[in-house]
Amino acid sequence: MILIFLMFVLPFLSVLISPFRPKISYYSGLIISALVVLISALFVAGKITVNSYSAGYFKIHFGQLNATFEIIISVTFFLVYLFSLYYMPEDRKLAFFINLTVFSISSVLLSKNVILFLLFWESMSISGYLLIGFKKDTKSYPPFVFLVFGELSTLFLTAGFAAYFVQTGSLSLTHSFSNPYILIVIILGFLFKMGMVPLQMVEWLPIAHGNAPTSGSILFSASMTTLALYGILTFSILAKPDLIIGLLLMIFGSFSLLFGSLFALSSENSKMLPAYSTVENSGAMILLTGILISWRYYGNFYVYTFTLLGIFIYATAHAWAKSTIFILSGISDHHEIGSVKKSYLSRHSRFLSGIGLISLMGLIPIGGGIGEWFLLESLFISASAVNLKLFSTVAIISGSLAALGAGVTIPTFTKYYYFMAGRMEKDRNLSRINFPVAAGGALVLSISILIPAFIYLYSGVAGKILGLPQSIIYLSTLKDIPYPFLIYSPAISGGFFGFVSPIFDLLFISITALIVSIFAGRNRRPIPMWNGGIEQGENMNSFAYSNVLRIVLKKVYNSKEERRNGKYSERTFDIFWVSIVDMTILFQKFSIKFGRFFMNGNINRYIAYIIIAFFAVLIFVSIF
Amino acid sequence: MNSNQIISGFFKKGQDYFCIRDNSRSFEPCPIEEIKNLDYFHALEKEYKHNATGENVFRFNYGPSTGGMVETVDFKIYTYGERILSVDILPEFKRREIKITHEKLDNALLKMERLNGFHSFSYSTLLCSSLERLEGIGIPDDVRVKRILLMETERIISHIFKTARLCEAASQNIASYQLLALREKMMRSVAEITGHRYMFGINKIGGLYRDFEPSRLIQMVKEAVREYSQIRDGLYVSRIFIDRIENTCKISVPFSRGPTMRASGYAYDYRKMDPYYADLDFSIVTENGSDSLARFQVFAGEIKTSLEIMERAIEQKNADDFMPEPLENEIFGVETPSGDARMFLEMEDNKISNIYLRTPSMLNLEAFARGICGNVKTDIPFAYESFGIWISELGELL
Amino acid sequence: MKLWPINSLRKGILTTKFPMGKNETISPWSTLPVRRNDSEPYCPVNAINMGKVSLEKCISCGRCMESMEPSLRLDNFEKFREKPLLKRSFKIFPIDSGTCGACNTELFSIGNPYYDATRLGIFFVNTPKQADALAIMGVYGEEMESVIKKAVEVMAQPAVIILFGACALSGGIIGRGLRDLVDPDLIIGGCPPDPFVILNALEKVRGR
Repeated sequence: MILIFLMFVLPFLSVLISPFRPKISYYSGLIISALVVLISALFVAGKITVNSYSAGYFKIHFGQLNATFEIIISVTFFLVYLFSLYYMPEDRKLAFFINLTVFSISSVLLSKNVILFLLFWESMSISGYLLIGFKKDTKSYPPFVFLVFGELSTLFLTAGFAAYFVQTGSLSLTHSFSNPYILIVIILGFLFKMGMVPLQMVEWLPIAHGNAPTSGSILFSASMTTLALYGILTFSILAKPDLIIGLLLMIFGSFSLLFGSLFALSSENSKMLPAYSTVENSGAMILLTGILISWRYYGNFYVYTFTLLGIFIYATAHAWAKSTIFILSGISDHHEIGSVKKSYLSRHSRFLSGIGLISLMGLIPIGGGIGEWFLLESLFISASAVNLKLFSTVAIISGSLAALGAGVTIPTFTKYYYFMAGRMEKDRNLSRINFPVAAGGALVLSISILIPAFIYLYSGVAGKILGLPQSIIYLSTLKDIPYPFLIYSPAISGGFFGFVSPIFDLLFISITALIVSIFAGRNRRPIPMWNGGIEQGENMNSFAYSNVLRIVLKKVYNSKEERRNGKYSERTFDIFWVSIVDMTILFQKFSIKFGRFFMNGNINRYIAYIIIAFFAVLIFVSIF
Repeated sequence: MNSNQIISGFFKKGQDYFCIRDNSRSFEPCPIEEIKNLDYFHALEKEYKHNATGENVFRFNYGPSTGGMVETVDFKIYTYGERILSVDILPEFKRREIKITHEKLDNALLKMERLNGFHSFSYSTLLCSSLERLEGIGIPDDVRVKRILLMETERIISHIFKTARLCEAASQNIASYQLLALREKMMRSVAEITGHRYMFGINKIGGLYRDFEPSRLIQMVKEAVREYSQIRDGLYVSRIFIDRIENTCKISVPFSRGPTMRASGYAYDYRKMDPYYADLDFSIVTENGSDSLARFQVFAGEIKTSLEIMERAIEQKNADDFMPEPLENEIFGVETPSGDARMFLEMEDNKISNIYLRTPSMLNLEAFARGICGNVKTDIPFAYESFGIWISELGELL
Repeated sequence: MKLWPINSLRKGILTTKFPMGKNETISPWSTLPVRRNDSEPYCPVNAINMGKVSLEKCISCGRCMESMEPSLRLDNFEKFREKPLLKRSFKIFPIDSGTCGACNTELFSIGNPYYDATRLGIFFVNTPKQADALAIMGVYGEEMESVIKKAVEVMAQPAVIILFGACALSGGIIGRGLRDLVDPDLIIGGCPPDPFVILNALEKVRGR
């Protein structure tokens, strides 16, 4: 009992310290998040037990699912704190908002009932709003857009939770329910917060254009989306599986995946690009959730435990790598990728940031690649279920969209690497992000090195969550690859479907490279560049790098070429955002008419009043 | 703009400036202001500068020495990726200075042949006929006919080569190789008939150094044209080929030369004014597309016309000497396969004392630089090959 | 003509058997002239000395036709490298330093179906980094000096430097040659050299 209480109270202490001693709060945050990871890992492995704590409606608990997500999310907190030590470490306001957000997120994870869940969810939205808008020079609209859609998310969640209460008669997050519409409403609430296509801009535009500090971006992109995934998983597992929801999620996820990666490739904003990539990765995780629900519907425990394991691995790799990349985006205060002239990174930081990017490209043997393998393998298994015609057709369609989207990420991140970190510049003054980015990269690398441990841990969790009598550990052996170093995927009827061995790949790549460099090293010859016989002139810029796609996919990007006063410019627009803006303008006209007719007071104050009142009611209810 | 008024070149004689106008065989004085106001003034000065600026715009370098181009030329492409906003062409990497003045006339002729080896007979004929006109040397009509025959053969070979390059750029490799084979066949016959594949060393002031049998040449060209028409018909039905060259590098400016000009609807052909072709009635091939496809169609049409001209020239040969009336202030010209070249000559002590030559590539390069804007980088080969530009023609004649 | 392959089959094989067989044709005046009679020959570039024609200087103009006639031989080249190499494949990067255009097209014509140099393993490449041989053509040009030097520098060894055509060898009648700029392994004379001469020279320098 003391442990769970500590896990709730300690982040809160950090919040209290932060307005007075920002640096100390970051150090304490570092220690606390490391501690939480340790406790969660030990708990998941079954080495310690952690009891629930409740006082009235205040109920917090530690289960298999939220403990797993504690591991994933607390590592991102660790990186946020580490980064904050190097990025505006003395700013009190920033420290307070960061600690508040961290506290809210970890409290959502610990909540046992829907009221607490909603309370902290709302507090997370508001602290996010504050993080985006805390700088004085911020334009007024980005934080507002963020808040409005955050409230929309809360609205859906409230409605869904109310229906959940009506059906189960309980506020606790442990009762199963059968009405699929409740699940749909709740999932929609979470999807708003994940910023999925077509709503990606409402979540990410404010972050990219609203001067949000980089530490805030990490929290939004790595922690909050993972938290929303946690919400979706919690309710998906509680709900009676429904095939239609599963298929819808698969289609929706693959659609998001494809468009997220397409928009990422054309993006020129150092924060917007990884943010779009988050949309893509969230799409992949939603797709996996869809497969999970579908296979639960068909009752095949081999495949659904494997899929849940895939979600865990994917979420881990994504959250950690994305934190690393957002730290890398802090290399310059300008958000245009093209304006980053040189990056003062040491050799190993450059290498480790590359590891993070390769993970996001989804290339084996790095973490994200293993997640990608889980995704594609689940889709292949689903597609091979020939007797389930509709399901396997959907699997093939979403699989092809997913593969297309996953392929597009490779040019996206090669571009990002080259322009953000790839250009060497010998300088003694290393960038402030040098150490944090290396730490993040090292954590990502650790996924592939420690992959048997992760699989072992997560397989156990997956079995327990899904209520299997005995967990299936997807580790095996093959020929010369010894026991824990081979991951396999199950066929529909059990047995072997496919396999991968990241450790083997890692060794193969490094040993081959070593042998080549030893034996062929003597024949090395530096080849001067050939630029038609003259000195190299200007470099290809990042805009030009992805402009081929802009020309080819003119309809998707809605790209426009302009020539003004002999100067050229080409812009691309997010078609979804453009249509949302158009709709908003229509709605605005309508609202003004409506408002003038019914409410003649100040509309801004009115909205503020509604939010505060709502918040007060929630606090009131949760206490009594 | 009426093409009558087009100034296609200018030169300085003494302290005054004189300009060359299309549709006129004599030069006329022209105030320097009028020349400087021409929007292609820099092209006549052999400068092709079109820089563009803008957000994300950078200079992409293609050349000077690179695969894909036949000659050395450097393109600086202003782009923000793929789309060409503008292009600077730097031909000066291959700047040859050829001394023609105060040389022995025969050596001047040898040098003139090597101004553009590919169109060497047109240029050597230009020099020979101008010198003959200036010196009042009459030539047998047989020589005039033979010169026409060789010039038209050269035109056919050049058009076949351009079509082949166009096919290669548009990935029509079978057609490209068949056309190259056809060209090689013609070159071999030309070598057999005249003694040199590029017709070097044939022309002589007042005659020909090496005589040849015209009937063999006509026979060979006839066969070649028949084969060419077959290949052309095959290309016309190839959708891939048409799609690739259609709407590529659209340019319709009256100052462009030769097939490029005629492909945009301007019916101007110097042969109509050339005394050599005075009695030969032929129709000017024009198209209205202004794009690479239209230029390809003009090549195809002109190959047919050239054969007709050759046959007619043989028929209309007469026994008299050919000696046209000299004009005052005459500006000489010849329709090379890429367009008309115009030349001003002054003689002193039986040697050339002043020379100005405006070659078609000077203006076509400018037309190319303007037309290629808005296309993508991969369009450069289709476009460039269809203009028939030779950088060697931009050399300096001293 | 819609069926390109059938049409191609109908045209049959055009490719020469050379170097296994004899060359079918040759451009007469591109070969070195030989004596026909005893009259003193006239040469605008002074290529004829004591009755011997210098392959570096001859510009194939045929002005000596009163006393000389074309030899029709394929020996219009000279190699300065004894060790045979690059027998399997031979990749050429052409550099145009200041030509009239004839050398360029003649060099490229060894790729057309009549000669088909690829059957001998001779290819053209787009950058000197991949090239085994540089074919340098044309007269000396100030701007091209650094380009040529750079190209020589980036080539991998073993490499063959070819000076191609009378302009590159002696400057012909136009200007200055390139002999003092690079150290050639092979020189090919003629203005321009005939494709058969080019093929023959390339095969000889490879030791085939």
